[in-house]
Amino acid sequence: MHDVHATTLSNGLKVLIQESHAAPVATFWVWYRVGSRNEPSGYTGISHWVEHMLFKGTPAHPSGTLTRLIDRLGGRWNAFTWKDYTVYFEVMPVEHIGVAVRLEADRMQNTVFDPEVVAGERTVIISEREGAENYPAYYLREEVEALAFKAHPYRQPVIGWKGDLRAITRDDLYRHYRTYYHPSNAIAVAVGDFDAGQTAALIEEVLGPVPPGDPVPAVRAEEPEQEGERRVVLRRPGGATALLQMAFHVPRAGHPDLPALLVLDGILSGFKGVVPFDGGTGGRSSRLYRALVDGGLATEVGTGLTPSIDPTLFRIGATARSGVEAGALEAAVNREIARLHDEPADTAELARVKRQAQAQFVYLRDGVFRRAMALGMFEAVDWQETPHNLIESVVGVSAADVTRVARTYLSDRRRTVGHYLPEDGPEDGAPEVVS
Amino acid sequence: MNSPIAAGQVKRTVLPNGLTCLVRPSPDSGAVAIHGFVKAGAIFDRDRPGLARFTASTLMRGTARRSGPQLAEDLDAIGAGLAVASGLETVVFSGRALSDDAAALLDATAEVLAEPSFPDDEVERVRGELITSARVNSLDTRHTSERVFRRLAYPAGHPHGHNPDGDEAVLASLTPDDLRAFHAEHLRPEAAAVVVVGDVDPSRATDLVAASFGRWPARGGWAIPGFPAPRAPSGILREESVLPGKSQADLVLGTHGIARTDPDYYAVMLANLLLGQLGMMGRIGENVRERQGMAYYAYSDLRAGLLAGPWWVRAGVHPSNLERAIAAITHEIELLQRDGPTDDELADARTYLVGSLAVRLETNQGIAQTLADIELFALGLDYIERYPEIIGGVSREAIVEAIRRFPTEGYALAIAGPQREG
Repeated sequence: MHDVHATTLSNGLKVLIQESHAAPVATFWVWYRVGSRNEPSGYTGISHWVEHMLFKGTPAHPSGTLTRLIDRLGGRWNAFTWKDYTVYFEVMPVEHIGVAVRLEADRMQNTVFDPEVVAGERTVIISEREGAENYPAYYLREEVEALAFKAHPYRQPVIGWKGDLRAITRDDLYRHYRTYYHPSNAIAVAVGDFDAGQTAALIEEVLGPVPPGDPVPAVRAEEPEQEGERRVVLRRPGGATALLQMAFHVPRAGHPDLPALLVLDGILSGFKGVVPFDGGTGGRSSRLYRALVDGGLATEVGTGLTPSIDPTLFRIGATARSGVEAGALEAAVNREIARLHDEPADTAELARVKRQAQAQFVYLRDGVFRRAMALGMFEAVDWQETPHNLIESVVGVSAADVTRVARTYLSDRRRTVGHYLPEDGPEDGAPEVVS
Repeated sequence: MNSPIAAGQVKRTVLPNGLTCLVRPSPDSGAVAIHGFVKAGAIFDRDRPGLARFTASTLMRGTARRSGPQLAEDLDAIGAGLAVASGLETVVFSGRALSDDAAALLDATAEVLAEPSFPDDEVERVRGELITSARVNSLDTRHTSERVFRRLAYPAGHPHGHNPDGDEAVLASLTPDDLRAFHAEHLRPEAAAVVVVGDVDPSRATDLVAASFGRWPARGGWAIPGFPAPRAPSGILREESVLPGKSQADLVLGTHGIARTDPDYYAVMLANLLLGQLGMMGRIGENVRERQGMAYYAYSDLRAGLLAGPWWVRAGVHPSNLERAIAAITHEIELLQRDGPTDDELADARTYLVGSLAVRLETNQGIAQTLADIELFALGLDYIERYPEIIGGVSREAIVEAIRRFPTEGYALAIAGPQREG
């Protein structure tokens, strides 16, 4: 990861390029610095909806032909929207990487927002939301986030509130697109079996002439210090077992405590790396797995931290074993947090987590896709680190650092606790599974 | 263009105990990926649905050499990952480690498959996890529609008709000895293959596999038991499950498909690609999602395995749109059956399948998984090299004939969602 060629074009587009010669493929990504973080009240979900619209065609690539074009060339493509960014990518046989760059340049500027297509997509997105609503864990997450943040837009779900999805207009979408989709608000990433210099020239040729665009509106909201614990108890039908979610306020990406928090996360549930959607490899020797799953209280438990532009949340989540109450899960988690406050992590445990981190860094090299995702994410959240330097920082974390960040951030005052309790399901009053 | 997997790059060895080992080097990755299978899934459940799943789920919870927690600690200490999962047909395992730790990962994998100890306390813990999971899934619309579909589409006793979660009563009644007996009888090296892809010398990797898996005692011949042949129903078998607290209805519509080794496989696979996958989920996605805006997902899938797994269309829609979505799905099937694909569509499907090989096989894990399938279905190590020719050799007529096998007069239709109004 040392060999990243980073440049900024005269129109403000940040470009990151890395060669990778394991397979004859290449990937091209555009990251826009826009997501639910940038959405005012009443417009939640608009970034994600714009993402959907970028698959609906341009005059040069009319609706339907975009996907065909990628298929025909043996590529795959997709996109995703998060709180801090909206991301588009193609993975192609390397000889077709130019098609991906041209396509992204075209839809950055020329996407058609046809009113009929907008109307059809409204119901598709509501269906996407309703699919998520079938899971009680989704509702609980919305409740916990909305409670943990009272001022900052991180309180809003990326998919948007249903009322907003019914109200957003074609012109709202088009304005959002025009406001945020331009080179000075974007990052281009290419990783593949190519010559970095030639790829840099290609990107310059295709994306260099695109006008830079105006500076985007600043996100001014600042979350005030949390003054006391917040709680929500969600009772509704639809689930068979209790769920626990806990969230603690932690700093933004780039804060010097991040490496220690990642180690803390590793101690609790295994080191996971920082690339979006990356799971860890193990974690069954971690403290929470031992206490909750081996302890017969939960069927699964996890923790996590998504590096973010603004201060964010460290989350803990657990699914109760049938018959176990949410309060029992919470008590077990609290015991493990108290241990982190009171006792230093032991040397072997710390070494295990660091070894997991080093291994994760090597696994990142398997395939162009995840390398590109890592490069783009660090840049998109203004993290002045490379994955390589981050691993070095993680290896430098001491037991005292872990205790300090545990005491600083995993405190009652900074947390929000959510319980989901099943209601009216066939499991009401069901006997506990005895072990 | 070079093929992403060439026969000459793969070292295939059959150990004296019958286990097959495939190694494909991938220099400079710094890591190894392993993937493999044992043909010991729910096909051997017989009248105890959940037995194979319970057995496989307990394999990592303790061996003759290490306790479950010790094994977890040893793997975590080297940053390695190992997972074992039970499917209806096979037990599948996969893992990864730094290349220096390849031996440790292979040792742990062999131990888990060959020498599990099924400790009482771990069996009870896994029982609780599986029963919880079955109960959670019984209130999940996607799981419920699939479960009901399987029951409707397959004859009693067919493993694809089983509840993939297992029956709660069976899970509650199995003893550690039942799991030991299932393991001893069905997890045998003759029914297993291990694939290693990564930054290792092929001969050394083969030696490592021989050293770790060589201890697994041979059991003798292996055969898939016979099952009643699935038949398409004579009419539409429709069943709706009402689940409380849901917003969306999920539906599964279809029938049994074909086995992966069926000579018509490629024609049916191409037909399915056109029907519900290519581009934004094929003809079905184009109608249900793109034109009518009714669903976030609407696609078809062909689960061709050792046996004829399902060939189904799945979609999630607002309950008020159910009948319209079902009509759109059957309309698209009938249209494709009547007129066949356009020349453009067919050309796109072929170029996609062949052209995307490089992209589909760009990671060690992707290559390992594909090699395991090549071994499971006896496709030959030159399969990927022959693939363009295979796909080019499927005629338009064969594809049209294949799509006509989807029975529009008699199929299973399972729906799970909220109470509908009116």
